[in-house]
Amino acid sequence: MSKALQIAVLSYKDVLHEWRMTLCVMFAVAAIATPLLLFFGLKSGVMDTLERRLLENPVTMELSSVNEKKLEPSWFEETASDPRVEFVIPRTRRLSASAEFFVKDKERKIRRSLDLYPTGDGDPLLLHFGSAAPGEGECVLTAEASRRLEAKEGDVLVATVSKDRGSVKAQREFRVAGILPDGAGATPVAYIRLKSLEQVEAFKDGVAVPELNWPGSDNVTKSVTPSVLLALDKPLDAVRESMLIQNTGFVNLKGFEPSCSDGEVHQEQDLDKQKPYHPFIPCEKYLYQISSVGMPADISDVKSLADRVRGRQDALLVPYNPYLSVTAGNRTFSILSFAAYGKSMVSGENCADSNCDLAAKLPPRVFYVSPAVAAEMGDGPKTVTVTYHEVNSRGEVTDRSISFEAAFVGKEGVGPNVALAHIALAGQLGSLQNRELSDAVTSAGEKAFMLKRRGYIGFRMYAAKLEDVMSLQEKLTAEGIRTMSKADRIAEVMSLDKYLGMLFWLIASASLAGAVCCLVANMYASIERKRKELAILRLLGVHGSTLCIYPLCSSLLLTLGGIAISLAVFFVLAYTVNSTFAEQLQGDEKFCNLTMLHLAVTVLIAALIACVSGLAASRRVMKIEPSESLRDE
Amino acid sequence: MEYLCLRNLRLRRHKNGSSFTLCVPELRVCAGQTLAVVGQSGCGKSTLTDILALILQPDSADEFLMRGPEGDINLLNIPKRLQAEIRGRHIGYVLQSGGLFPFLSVLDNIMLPARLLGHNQKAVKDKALSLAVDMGIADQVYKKPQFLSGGQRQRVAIARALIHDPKLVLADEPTAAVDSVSAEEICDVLKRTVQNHNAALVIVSHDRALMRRHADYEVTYSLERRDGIVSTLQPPVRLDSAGDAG
Repeated sequence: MSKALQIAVLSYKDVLHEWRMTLCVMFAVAAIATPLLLFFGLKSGVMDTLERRLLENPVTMELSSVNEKKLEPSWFEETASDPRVEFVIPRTRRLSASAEFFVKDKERKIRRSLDLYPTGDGDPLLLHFGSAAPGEGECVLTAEASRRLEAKEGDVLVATVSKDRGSVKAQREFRVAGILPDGAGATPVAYIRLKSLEQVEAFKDGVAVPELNWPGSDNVTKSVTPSVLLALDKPLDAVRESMLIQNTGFVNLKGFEPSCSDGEVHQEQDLDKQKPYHPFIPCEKYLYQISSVGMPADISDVKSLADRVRGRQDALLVPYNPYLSVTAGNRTFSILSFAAYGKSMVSGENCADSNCDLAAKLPPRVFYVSPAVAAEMGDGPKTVTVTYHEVNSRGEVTDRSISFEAAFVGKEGVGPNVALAHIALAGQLGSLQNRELSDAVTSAGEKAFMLKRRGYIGFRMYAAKLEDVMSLQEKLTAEGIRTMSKADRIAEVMSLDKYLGMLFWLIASASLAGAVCCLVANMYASIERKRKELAILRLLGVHGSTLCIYPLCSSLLLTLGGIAISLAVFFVLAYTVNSTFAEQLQGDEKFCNLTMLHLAVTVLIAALIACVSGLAASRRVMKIEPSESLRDE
Repeated sequence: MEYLCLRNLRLRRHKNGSSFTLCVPELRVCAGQTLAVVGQSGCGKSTLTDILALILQPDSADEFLMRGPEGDINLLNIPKRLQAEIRGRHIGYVLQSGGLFPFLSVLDNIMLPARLLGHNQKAVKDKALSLAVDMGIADQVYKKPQFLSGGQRQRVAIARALIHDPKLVLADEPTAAVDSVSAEEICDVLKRTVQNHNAALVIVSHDRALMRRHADYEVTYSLERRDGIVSTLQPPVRLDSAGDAG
């Protein structure tokens, strides 16, 4: 056995021999440590219980939007990829998210209006309460909803959606896939798939839902244009110019001088980039670009503008959308439309032709290109992609596109990079400025460009962790989205935890300093009592540094013994507290509790204090001389 | 065989404004011999003991050696850690009232020096029990020292001083705390046992008569006032008891 170990054994035997003194010191340590352990145990237990109760209820983690701000599908994709977000699903307008339900097979039809909430796979609320997400044609009811309807799981419910103050109604069936307990919410709600909710909203908005045979109008897009070009032989005076932007739906007017003399050949590539180009507008004409701001102009706006130039034989009015292009294969063309009014000098097209009908619902899907290009592209319909690309003055980019099948036909006078389209086709595609479009089939079975939904006005969101609720709410607020959450409650619990922690460490610091002083004083006194024995050990060949193990070991034994007593008392008190408040606790919750980590840290801190005290006392041991053993008997 | 050789050793100490100088012209301590260091208070007995116990280092010495079969060890100006090592390995101590540890049993007290040296536990225990038998305290080995008489405690101390086979045993007033009958017995046992272990024994005592009955040699001091007190160790004088013991 090494000398150091022998010294440790001697120290241990000494501590045992002086058991009365040892117990006194241990109880002194326990008197300091027990209240601290109890305080920390209560803080830890109460905070843990509060946090668990908050955590276990997914409602705590929920953030729902309060204001109705339009949110694009891309926003949802981006938000769903945020690691702080456990689940997010769009909501439709609240006013459109309700329906009247009754149980189909019951004789007594109890009709109750329920709010409709969207849900989907991975919805934490449903998962927590043991219900799978409903499939198409299914719903999950809250306990209150099931009570009001007297419905149970497996029942088939009939949902009636009405509009126009109940004069128009539509029905569909939902099977009850699950019923949530009261903890999931107190309001009568039916959770359904987002698509079903969108169908309800569409019906209430007057749009037909062909899948469910719900009547309504087709959401076919209408012609719009951000600007028109007006070509004249002579310029307008200021009064007539201003008349073009008074009550016409247009706001801006910009004039261009003729860019060539009469008889010159018009060259697309020679044109000044600032001056709009149209193959059917001769370059010797005076040109005006008349534009709207924000929302594009519609048919009535163009018609009112046409009325202002009606009777002028030299006038040519052409809708002009410089942001539209069509791509077929590896070729891209700027889309220009035929004239809305007047007669083209080059092609002879005029608005008596079908290509000038701005209100045509189903314009031919044909692009007119130069004969050479048409020959190169070949006959038959091609899959084309029409793109609307605009970078506004604030640097914001609008980029939307739609793909469909169209034919390319050769037409003289059209430049190689231009594709002329029916005025209504170009106008309908111009709707990409504000909305996504889809190439869909109308209720009459015809192909048409339909307006896609305009994004969503809200969401149901669940944070991944308790602390994420607040940061997500801050992020959403910064985006201008006001949300409702339990963040205040969470912040309260967290700040309570923080302040209790600070209070604990304040008290603990003072107590630990006292404990160190107490132990150091005790060790000093102990060394003075044992000076003779320690001097004999020095005489027997133990070096001063090795002898330091003696007080170190004593200090460790006394402190750890004190902590052991303290823990024993703590467990008794903790059991008493938890038993007393058992009725307020659920499951394995505890009001007073220390985890294994807490216990390990307690022992570690105690050992650290013991080492500090022991080392402080060791300085005195180092000064003991072996000669002290030979005299002063 | 000489175990300890001191020649022209000198140590000067200052205390309360006056100085004390110890001079040792020559001192040789041999195996099996008992050397009694006697003298009046303040003559330098304790200073000599501290030097022999390697607690104090002399200011100068022509020779301060510990001899042994493995060679001589120069004890002059050696580091403190080595001093401690030599103290633990080669010197045994018998203190005034035993200097036993109250929290250890008699047996553990006897075994302590050998245990600190890391000797084999079983062998140490056997030897401790054998020494206890020699000392006549075999029936007391599992008791705590406080339950023994003064004489018995000194016997334990003697056994502890010999457990690790030291070359030199230093006994500092070993009979100071016992009655005269016990003192005789202790001196007798101490001398006999040390001789049996072929160690050298240095007894520091103020009881000159007792020492004359038990020691082989006696050394005394001559004091003179010359720039403070100068105490010179006189050459050892062979005593009559040497023939009886030897």
